[in-house]
Amino acid sequence: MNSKLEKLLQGHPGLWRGRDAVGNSAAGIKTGFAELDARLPGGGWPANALVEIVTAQWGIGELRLLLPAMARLSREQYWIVWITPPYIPFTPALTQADVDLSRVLVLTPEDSDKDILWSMEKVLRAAACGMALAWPKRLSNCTLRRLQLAAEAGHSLGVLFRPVEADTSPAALRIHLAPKDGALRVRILKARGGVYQHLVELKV
Amino acid sequence: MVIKHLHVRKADPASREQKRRQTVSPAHSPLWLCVYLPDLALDVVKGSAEHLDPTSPCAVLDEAVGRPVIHTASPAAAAAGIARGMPLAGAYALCSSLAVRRRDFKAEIERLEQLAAWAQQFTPLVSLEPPQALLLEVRGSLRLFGGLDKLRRRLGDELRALGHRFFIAVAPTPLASLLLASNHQAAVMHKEALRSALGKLPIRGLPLTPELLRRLRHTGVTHLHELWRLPRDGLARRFGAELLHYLDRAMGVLPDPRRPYRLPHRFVAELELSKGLSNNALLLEAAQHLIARLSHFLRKRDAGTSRLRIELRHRQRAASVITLGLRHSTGDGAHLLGLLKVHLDHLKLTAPVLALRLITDEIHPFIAAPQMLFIHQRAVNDATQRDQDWQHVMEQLEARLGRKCIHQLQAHEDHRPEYAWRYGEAALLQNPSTRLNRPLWLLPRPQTLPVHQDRPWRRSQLSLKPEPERIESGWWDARDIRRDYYIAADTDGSRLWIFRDLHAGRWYLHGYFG
Repeated sequence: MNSKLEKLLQGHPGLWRGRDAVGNSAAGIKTGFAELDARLPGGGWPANALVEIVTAQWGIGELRLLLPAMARLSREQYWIVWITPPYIPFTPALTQADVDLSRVLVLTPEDSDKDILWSMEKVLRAAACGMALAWPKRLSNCTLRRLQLAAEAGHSLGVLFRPVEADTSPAALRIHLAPKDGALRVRILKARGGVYQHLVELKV
Repeated sequence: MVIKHLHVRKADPASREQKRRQTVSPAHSPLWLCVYLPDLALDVVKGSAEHLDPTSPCAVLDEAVGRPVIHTASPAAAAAGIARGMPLAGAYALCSSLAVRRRDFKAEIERLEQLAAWAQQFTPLVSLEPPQALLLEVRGSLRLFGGLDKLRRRLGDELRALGHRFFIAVAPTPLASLLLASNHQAAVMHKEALRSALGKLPIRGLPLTPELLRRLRHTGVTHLHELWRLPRDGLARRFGAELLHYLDRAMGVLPDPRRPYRLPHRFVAELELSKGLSNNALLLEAAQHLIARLSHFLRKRDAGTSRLRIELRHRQRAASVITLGLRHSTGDGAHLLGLLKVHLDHLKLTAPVLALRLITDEIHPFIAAPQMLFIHQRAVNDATQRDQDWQHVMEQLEARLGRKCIHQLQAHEDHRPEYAWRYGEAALLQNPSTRLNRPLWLLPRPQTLPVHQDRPWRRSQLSLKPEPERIESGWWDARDIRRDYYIAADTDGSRLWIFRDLHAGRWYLHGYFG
């Protein structure tokens, strides 16, 4: 094909090429699971955006999905911040997964949703933060938009866990997790640059 | 051969002294500059809450023999004839619209200390001369500031900007410069000229008791040059050795060491508000002034602070206190203001605030992060910049959430799961065991599981993996456990970490394999 046309097709921001869009967004953080990386735009978790994980139950591998990325970020001296986790992140399991504990922070603000979201925004905005995980009780789209902007400003990955899928959400990536026969079924509800819902089954 | 006579002449003491004085170059002898503030008492009182119109006659009172006497009068009052030492009744007789205030000694000393701190930009040796003068040793600064005239002009401009009326005098000894300044005289550069210059001054300016002054006046001494004419031993006998020592120090015959002013280790600043404030935003603006002063003070000392206390005073109520604790000492006013804003946003005021007071005790030398020059080190520079920003974020989190809500995880060498982790400073195990299969979520307390048909039950019958892990440990601190841990799967897909307590035989849920 004509080289000028190629360049236009590949580089122009006004042209959307669906799944084959290249240079659309920044390169992603590798998830550690090759089949998931192949389906996600940017080849991994979005490096400066919010990820919404919709899951109704604990213990199905929702954290193990993030663990390889968490380990890599902490070894590169970025901070991993847990904001009001529902249970205690168990240290021996974290060290076994190679997460650098000196870069892990756990925040347990008492009770106020506003404090949780304020802390998340502050932490996401810092460039030293690699990943921030939060389990908020209530979220509005307006707050989600603010968190998304904070993640972009600080070039950090924000992960929000929600029990129920909301109709619309400004998060860059939304996935639904469900267990299936001992494996984890990941359904990509929304991703930048793609409309179809992918289904991936991962052994975590 | 001619032997010439060698004349060995004994040099007489006078010429020897002259030679010695000539060898000591005047360019290296100390030169003292005195800043005399005649209206200091009035200036500090003007700044207080009740307004004092400087153009109208007003005066500051002092106490003498139990009666109030005038200490300092404004120019308008002086024009009406009011002078220092006049009793109050006489002053009112001369000017009926006189506004008077009591003298505030503490405020005067504080203002003098502030001015001493300001004057340290011109010379390192600044000495306080209460009640209303500062002494600066400026010989070493002349070259930097381009000569004595330029230095005086600069001092004058800045003092005028600060709003003080002043007189500056320069002399080879501190006392001489003080005497000259308080008598509104100019400069004397050489020691030889001191005698004649000081001689013209009246004895009123000397720090003598009124009794002594009266006696001197009776002997016909009104000016210092008449004092020079009196014999020294007679002076010492009749008027005391202190007077003689004073004169010797003024003339430079006796040394007169001055204690240099050192900036204090504690910073206290107060701001009185004319009206009680209840609005947090306005309080922040008021606090900004105090923080600007603190930042200036710290920068002068090349120091930072790691702990601040701000007291908000109310009427007839205990003061509210805000404490700001920082991880690293900082002198950055903007950062401190940001932290204060976080606190103020949360503060619920019970009463209007009448005054603000900022106190800091912990002043440490400031160590700045090294800045890298070369481009291949810029990555490291970015990392240090990131760490610094992270420290700021941590401080803000601590300010809002409180220190007890922020934890790091610590690993312990303990087989018991409850004690294998702790909130605390991050600490890693030396050789972590890699064979263990541990869940990512741990419940804070094990949850009992009901048992149906000999099998534990959660939402449905749990299916257990065949090989349990037995943990028996902790016999040494009376918290021993004997448990069989199993990995269980629930029908809804979750993988659980459950155990059976071998003491009582009950089943518990302890974690989730997240």
